[in-house]
Amino acid sequence: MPSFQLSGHADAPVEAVWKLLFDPGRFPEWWSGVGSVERTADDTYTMWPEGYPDFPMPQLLHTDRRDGRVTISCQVSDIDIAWQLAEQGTGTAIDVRVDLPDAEAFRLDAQRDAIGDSLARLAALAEKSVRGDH
Amino acid sequence: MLRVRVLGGYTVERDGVTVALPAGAARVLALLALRPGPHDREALAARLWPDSPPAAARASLRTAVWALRKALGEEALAASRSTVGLAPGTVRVDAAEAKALAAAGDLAGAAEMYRGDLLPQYDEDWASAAAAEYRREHAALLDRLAAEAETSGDLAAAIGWAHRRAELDPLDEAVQVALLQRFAAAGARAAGLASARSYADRLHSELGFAPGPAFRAASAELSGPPAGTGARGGVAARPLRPLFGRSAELAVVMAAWSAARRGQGRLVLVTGEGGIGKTRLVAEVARRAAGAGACVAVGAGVDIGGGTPLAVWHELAGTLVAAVPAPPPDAGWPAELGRLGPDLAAALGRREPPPPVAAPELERLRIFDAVLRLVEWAAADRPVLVVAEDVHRADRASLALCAHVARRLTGLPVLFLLTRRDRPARPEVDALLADASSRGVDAEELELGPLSDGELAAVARSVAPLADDDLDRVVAVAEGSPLLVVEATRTLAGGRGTLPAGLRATVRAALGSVPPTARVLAEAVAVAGRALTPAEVAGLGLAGAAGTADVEAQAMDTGLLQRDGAGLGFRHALLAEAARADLDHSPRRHEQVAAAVESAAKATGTTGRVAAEVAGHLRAAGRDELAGPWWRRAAAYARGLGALPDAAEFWAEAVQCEPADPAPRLELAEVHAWLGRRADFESAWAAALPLVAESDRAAAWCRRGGVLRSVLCHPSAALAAYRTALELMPVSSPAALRAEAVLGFAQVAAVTGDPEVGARLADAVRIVGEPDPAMAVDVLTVRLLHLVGLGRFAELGPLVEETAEAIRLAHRPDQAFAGLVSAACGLAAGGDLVGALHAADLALELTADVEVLTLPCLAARAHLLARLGRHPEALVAVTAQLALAERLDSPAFAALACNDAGLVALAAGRYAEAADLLRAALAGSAPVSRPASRLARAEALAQDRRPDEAAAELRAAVLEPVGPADQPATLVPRVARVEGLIARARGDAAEATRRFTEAAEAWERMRRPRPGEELMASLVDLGRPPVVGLAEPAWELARLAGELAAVKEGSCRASS
Repeated sequence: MPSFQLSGHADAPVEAVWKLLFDPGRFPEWWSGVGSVERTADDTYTMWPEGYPDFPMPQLLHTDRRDGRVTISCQVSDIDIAWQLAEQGTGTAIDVRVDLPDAEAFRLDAQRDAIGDSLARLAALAEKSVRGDH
Repeated sequence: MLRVRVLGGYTVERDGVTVALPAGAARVLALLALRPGPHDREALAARLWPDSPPAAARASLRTAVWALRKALGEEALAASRSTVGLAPGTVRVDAAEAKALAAAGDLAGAAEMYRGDLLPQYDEDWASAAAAEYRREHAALLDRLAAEAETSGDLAAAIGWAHRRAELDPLDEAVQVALLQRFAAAGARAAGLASARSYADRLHSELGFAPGPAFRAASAELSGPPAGTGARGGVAARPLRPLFGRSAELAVVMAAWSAARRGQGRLVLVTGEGGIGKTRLVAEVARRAAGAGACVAVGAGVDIGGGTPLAVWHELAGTLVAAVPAPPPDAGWPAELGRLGPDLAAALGRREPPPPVAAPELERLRIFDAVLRLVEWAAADRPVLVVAEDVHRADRASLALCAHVARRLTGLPVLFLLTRRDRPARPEVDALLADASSRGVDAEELELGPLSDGELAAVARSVAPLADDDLDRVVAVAEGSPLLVVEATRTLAGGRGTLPAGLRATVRAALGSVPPTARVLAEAVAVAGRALTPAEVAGLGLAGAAGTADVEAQAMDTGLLQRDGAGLGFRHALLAEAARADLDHSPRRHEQVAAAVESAAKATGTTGRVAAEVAGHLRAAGRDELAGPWWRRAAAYARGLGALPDAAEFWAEAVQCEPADPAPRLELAEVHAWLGRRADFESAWAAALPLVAESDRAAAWCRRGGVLRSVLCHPSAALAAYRTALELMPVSSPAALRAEAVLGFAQVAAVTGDPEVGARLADAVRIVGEPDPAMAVDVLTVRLLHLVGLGRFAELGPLVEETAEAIRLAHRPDQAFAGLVSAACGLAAGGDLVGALHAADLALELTADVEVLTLPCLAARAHLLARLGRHPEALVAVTAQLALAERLDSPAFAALACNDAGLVALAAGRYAEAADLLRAALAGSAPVSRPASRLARAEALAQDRRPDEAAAELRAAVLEPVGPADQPATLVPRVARVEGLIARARGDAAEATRRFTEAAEAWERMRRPRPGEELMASLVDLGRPPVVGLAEPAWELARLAGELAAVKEGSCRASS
């Protein structure tokens, strides 16, 4: 199964990053390629990619009880994106692992770019939120 | 010299000559004699002539004093204008002299001075109070004299003093019991029985009462078998050999007993190697306690493996129910005691079986609580001594119940005395002691070491007279063990000149000399591992023409066996062990014992209780084909008691015996599920399924569905199981089975939001036609859950009343929890808080007799009251929940109650208390939403102006795993609000405003499309509906608006 892993750091407390990660309504603010989001239940929501208003992508958001990872699974493409937060000094270490089904292997590089960009934007948004200028 | 005698009459002598006094003067002298020293004239006159006007009373006193001076001489009185008294050193008073003798240690001399009550001719307060006090002192004096005489071995004197004590209080039962015990100890059976009859007649003629249990027990001891036998039980029913040594240990236990009698319940664990004298020490304590009128109950662990669950407590409870007064008619616990044994409930006047309970764990908790209440009831009117002997070999369930009772001794007049050998190790016993201590119970361990040579010699002399050389030999061979010294002495006294090497050789030698049939009997008793009842002995098939009496007598001639209230057994467990060890392997004896126990149990309808024992013997006999059915009975019995580990063990044995039969495997799978062993459940199920006949597979799948739906709480797997069951079910299958599958399917479907629910319910109703009351409840519950799951809360109201009535009719309190509490949560989620409270209260009423089910109902009531702003009532409800959870002895329930109480305290503004309770809940791993509980605690800490602690708790909250039951969407605004509260506590108004605003925006952004799903997620993930409430965005927004306004107002004030 094609996969990759990225790491980053936010100069913001875990709570600030956590609130962004758990609030699908704010995904468009930091997640590259996400145009809009609508919650359908506590742990599921539907995401529309930017520029594709007729292409809803149901997502499942859950955490792994063993290691506290926040995993977001796309119900259409079977792509799993697992985010993991940890305290790092006064800031937050952000790790993300992406697993793609074999059929989606050709998207690996594009996904790496998009998630790398999202990670940076997530960290920046959390830092901005702490400064109080969100 | 003036001499005044006030005991047994009233006389006054002056220099040996009796003095006649006028009545008034005599009364004054009596009072002055009792109370030396000057008396205020006014007070004295008022006391002696209380009905006269003061002036008249003073005049009467003056006249009396004048008469006294005249009769006794001027020197006898010391009088002034304001006081009067007897002149010091001029008067001797017999009562004062008796007290002085007692104080100087001359107890007998003091007792001899008592010739009767003090000043019996006066009935005024001052005289009767003094008489009562003197009577008490004299009674205590006689008790001490009797006890000291007994300790010194002068049993005749002990009887004499006890007799005088009984004369002092001729209707006091405890005193009579002590007297009878002493008659028994001295072997004076005829005199004792005469005394017992006299007391019983007196009690009946004067009070119309019959003597109580303690007296009956003591009386039975006198009329029972001759010395060397007697009733087994706490009241040392056999005349006991004097207790040698152990005075220090006895003092420790008696001190614990004294404290317990005062209401400071204690736990004492007596530890020592086999034969060291634990039982003898405990018997002495029991004898003394019973003699003092206490209620005494004794139970013991069984000597072989495969023991019946709760065997120790069945024995203990049997003694207690015979000793307690009838419980109140409305008490529920006596019926619950029927779960342990119908005979126990029947003894308390309850013939109806206890109401059924769905889960074995609930059975266990209810039995434990019923037994605890029995102990409390026994202790309500007198102290109780509970003795659990040989707990090193007690079954697991008995030990768990010992721990349950031990934890609650504080405040009860109960001494809980346990004995154990130091080997084999039983960590549960150590844990029990540590646990009781950690809960504030005064618990201690007393280790019995070897007796000294002098003490051993005394023991030997009490058995038989020996020459000095022989005495030295038995002391040397005993190595500190009183049991070994007794056996060695008996061997030498029996004419065998050489001492066998060790106990095993001693037992072998003793058994070697008896006729074969008697030897078989002794071997059977050894193999049985406990005393055999007369019916069981008869079942061994050893009877000759004259029955078994001759054989028993021959066996008892060995000196190894005895007959007591429990039956024919070895005098000591070590002797039985030695006999067993010599037998090596004896399948024949095991089979004999199995048959005997079986036939006796069948006659009394108690096969369940002895099933494990019979099965164990059959296994030892190599008769697996016969053992299988008995393991099944044993497992079913254990499961009925909620003793699940035992049930699993017994079903596993049944599987071994009957490997081709799927039934034991299916049962084993279910017990694994109840124990929470999911993998084991699946493994046993997988092994069972291929063995199940085609025609039975649908039923097996249906059963699997039931386990997955309820016990293992795995809705999707349950749905699949029910679906398979329905697919495999032929049209001709029994209606009840089909209805069960359909209803089960519908209930799971309701929880999972499956749209098939309606159709399935219609199927169920069609199949069963007119449902019976139990099924009617199931149908209604499914409807309620279905509506809740769909979020159609407004439709719940009318169904609530109907469901409650159906539950009442069907006696299904479990469904009150599942259906009505879920409905209450749904109504609350729909905004109908009053309707929700009504539903919760109905659930509370319907579960009142089932405490484990009452808990979530109390939690729901507390939360709803808090939500309605009725905080004092909410706190009362949650306090009741806490107390109940503690009593039920379940860490999970206790932690859950702490969580619920913490949330109610938080709502009531009791922040510090809330923080403490929530910390306890989180530490106890309560089955709650941990992120939500941590957030609540962080909020409590912030509100309590402890921002740093609040921040740490908030951090912990966001690092917790999150699942659907945590309502993850609501966590984001909650986190932001707590950040705002922390900022406010730190005085950072700007940050507080930012975070409160952020929280408000998140609540505004939130849509709650399916609150019913959230509710069901809680039911599935946490095992109960969200009794502490779903999030309510509108209410949260209103609260945030208030908080924002307060911050703004505070900032304005600060800036101005």
